[in-house]
Amino acid sequence: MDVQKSAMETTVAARLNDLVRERGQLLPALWRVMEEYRQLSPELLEAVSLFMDIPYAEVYGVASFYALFENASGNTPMYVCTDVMCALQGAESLKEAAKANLGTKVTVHESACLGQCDYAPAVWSGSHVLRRATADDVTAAVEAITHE
Amino acid sequence: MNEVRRLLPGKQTSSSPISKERLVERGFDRALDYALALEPEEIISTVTKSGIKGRGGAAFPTGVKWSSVSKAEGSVKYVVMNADESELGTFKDRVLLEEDPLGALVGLVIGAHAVGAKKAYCYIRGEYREVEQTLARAIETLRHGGWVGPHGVEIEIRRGAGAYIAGEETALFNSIEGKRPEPRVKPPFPTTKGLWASPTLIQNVETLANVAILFAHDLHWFTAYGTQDTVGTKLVGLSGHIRRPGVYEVPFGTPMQEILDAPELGGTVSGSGRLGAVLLGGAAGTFLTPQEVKNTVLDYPSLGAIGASIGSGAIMVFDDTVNLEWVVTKLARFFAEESCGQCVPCRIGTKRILEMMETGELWTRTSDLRALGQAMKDASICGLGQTAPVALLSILERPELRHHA
Amino acid sequence: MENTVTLTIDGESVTVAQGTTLRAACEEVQHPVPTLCWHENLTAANACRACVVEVKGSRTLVASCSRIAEAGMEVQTASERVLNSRKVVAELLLSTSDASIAPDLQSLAAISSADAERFSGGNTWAQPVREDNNLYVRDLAKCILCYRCVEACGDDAQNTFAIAVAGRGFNAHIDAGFGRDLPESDCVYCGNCVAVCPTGALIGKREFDLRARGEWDEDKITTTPTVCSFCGVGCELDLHVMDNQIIKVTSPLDHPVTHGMLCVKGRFGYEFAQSEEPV
Repeated sequence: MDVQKSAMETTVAARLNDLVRERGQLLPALWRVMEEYRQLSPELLEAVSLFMDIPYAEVYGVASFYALFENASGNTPMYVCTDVMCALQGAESLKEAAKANLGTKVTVHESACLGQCDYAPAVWSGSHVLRRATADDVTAAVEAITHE
Repeated sequence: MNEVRRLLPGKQTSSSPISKERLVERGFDRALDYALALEPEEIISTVTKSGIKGRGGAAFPTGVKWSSVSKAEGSVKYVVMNADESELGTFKDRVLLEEDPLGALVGLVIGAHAVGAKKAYCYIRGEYREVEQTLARAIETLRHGGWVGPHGVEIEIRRGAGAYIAGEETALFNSIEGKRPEPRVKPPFPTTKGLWASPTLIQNVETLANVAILFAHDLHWFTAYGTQDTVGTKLVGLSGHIRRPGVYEVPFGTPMQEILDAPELGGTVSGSGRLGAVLLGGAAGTFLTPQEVKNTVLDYPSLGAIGASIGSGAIMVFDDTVNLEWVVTKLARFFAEESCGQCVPCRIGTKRILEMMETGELWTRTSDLRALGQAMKDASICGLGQTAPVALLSILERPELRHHA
Repeated sequence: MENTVTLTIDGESVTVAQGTTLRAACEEVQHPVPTLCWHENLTAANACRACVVEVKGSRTLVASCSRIAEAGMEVQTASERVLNSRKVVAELLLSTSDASIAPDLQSLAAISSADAERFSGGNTWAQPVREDNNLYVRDLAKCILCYRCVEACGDDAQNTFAIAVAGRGFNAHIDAGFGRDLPESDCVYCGNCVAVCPTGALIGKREFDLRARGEWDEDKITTTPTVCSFCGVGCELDLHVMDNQIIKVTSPLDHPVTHGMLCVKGRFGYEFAQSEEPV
């Protein structure tokens, strides 16, 4: 038995412990794991599959559908909206600014419309939104995460 | 005179958006106590008489929907608030939930009582993390007031995880049920077989807020605004080349040009200062020429006459320097990335449209694009595939927009 | 009569039992509609949209495989819109997937006068063949995402749930989870996914190898019915024989026990029947 793997299974099970083990709780379960690990790796999905008693292929089928679960690096994600309204207001340069100062703790994702068009261009850190973001704002946000 | 604030709280509103005081200030406590004491049929009759239509895009008469769910057979029923606003250029539900989260929740509680549901869900897009937290606190306020809880209706928030299609009502049910958010074939409709195959009332945030203000006042008050076809006010989201981007509440029937130009609304076109085109209704919307903007009002018949619709209320403004071919390519990428992949016309069609836009074939392959677009409109399972080609086809119908492209 | 409904199909009046799908009703009046994802023993997936028909009063076309016939419906199976959609569906699939051993897709293309080149030139599903076990091969360049295999693996037959649709959009695909090999998955090798696959994307190893060597010859194949002897259930088998070798085993779709589905022994146990080594 893989010791590390079973440790992960235990941690995941503890994180999901108060959830009812039914299919309707799969999305909340995936979010909890995502928030803890910032990624959904094969091992983590295996643990979710075991705990929730939902076949692995199905858990993967669901998890792989959602854009916010796509963060293989496990870094803090930074979503730069590059959709029409933000692109009109210079989103490309924000993306470049974010990527230029990336470091090893942040992964930049290009995002579809974040629903912040009244404050374009927008960047979302996963917890809060940078509105009318400038390259300096993005650089500062990346640095703040790096020094967390 | 054009901006109204009914769905959005008046500017003098001073209480915290999630507080008991806000409930009182907005008349929502009164609305709840009044509505919950009514028989379900009386509520539905009032909603029907009000003429409220769904504000998520389809404009289906709300009273008819409530009546269907109420009459549908089944001992368990659900109500769902659709706050999965992910349509490009659309942010009205976010602003409404930020400024007045209790309104839509009050509408949800009244809806639950009207159709006999004990359980309600608020499905909110994953990117609206801060709004979700506001919503959770607002639910607590209603719980303390006794309107939410085991003796009334329980409300659970479900957080989406980045999927535009999950806003499609049946895909949303699948998402809640822990399945892939792929749309289901209709019929059966949600009113008879929705969440967990039970009759389900699903409404957009803005629709529910309309119900709240209706019961906080009365029919006479509610119907003071609007047109013969559509009563009430509409939230529109102005973005792009506009001096005052934001969400505004305007009566149905307001001239489109005024929405762009009025000092208390859009405040005129920014950028070059000259209007190039408007994309109305979201990614699946219609491009309007400056002339069309001049000649139409915000109402279904007026816009329908030129093949357009209000959709989500998104009004994306482009000055005359914007290359609309670039915009159409962006829209194509959006649909290709957001297609669930279930049906052939949408899964492959959105990809092929994107490829054709990327290689600059908008004006050279019009007959192929029309045939493909028609097949997508006709044969896709859901609204995403059916409307994905609409904006593109609308540009083909307006060759005068070509010189911008 | 109470348990029948009368509707018109291409102007012809027809009375069918309540609960009949439009697809079945069309077949009854001999105006058959083409299908790809539909399978008589599986839940209709509604995915391919090849079977759409026009129903008067409906804004969009409707998938005849799953729409139930209603009294008074006026159905057209060959309207301009239907013919356009059918043709585009065929063309889109041909632009994406390898249809070389997909008879249903080939016939859809033929009857709709599809132009295989019209939407070609973009991304396709070309990808390496996956041979990770001795019994069947996954040649997913041929997949049209009809969902049949997923349904057969799931609650329509096998209840194993070893595979599911994953990803989305053009990248949606059949997956055992993170692309893992079948031996690492929950697969029990019943081969029911292979049996229902309409395009050869899932194919028995023996057939795959024979085709690769150019030795697969439909004209030389004979079929012999027998009853499986591995256990007492009594599944009927069709042994497909070429050059005195069993090359494939299927079960009749209308067999009351199997409905075309078998277990690993029935499906792939023929390896033992012709082995010279004692089992």
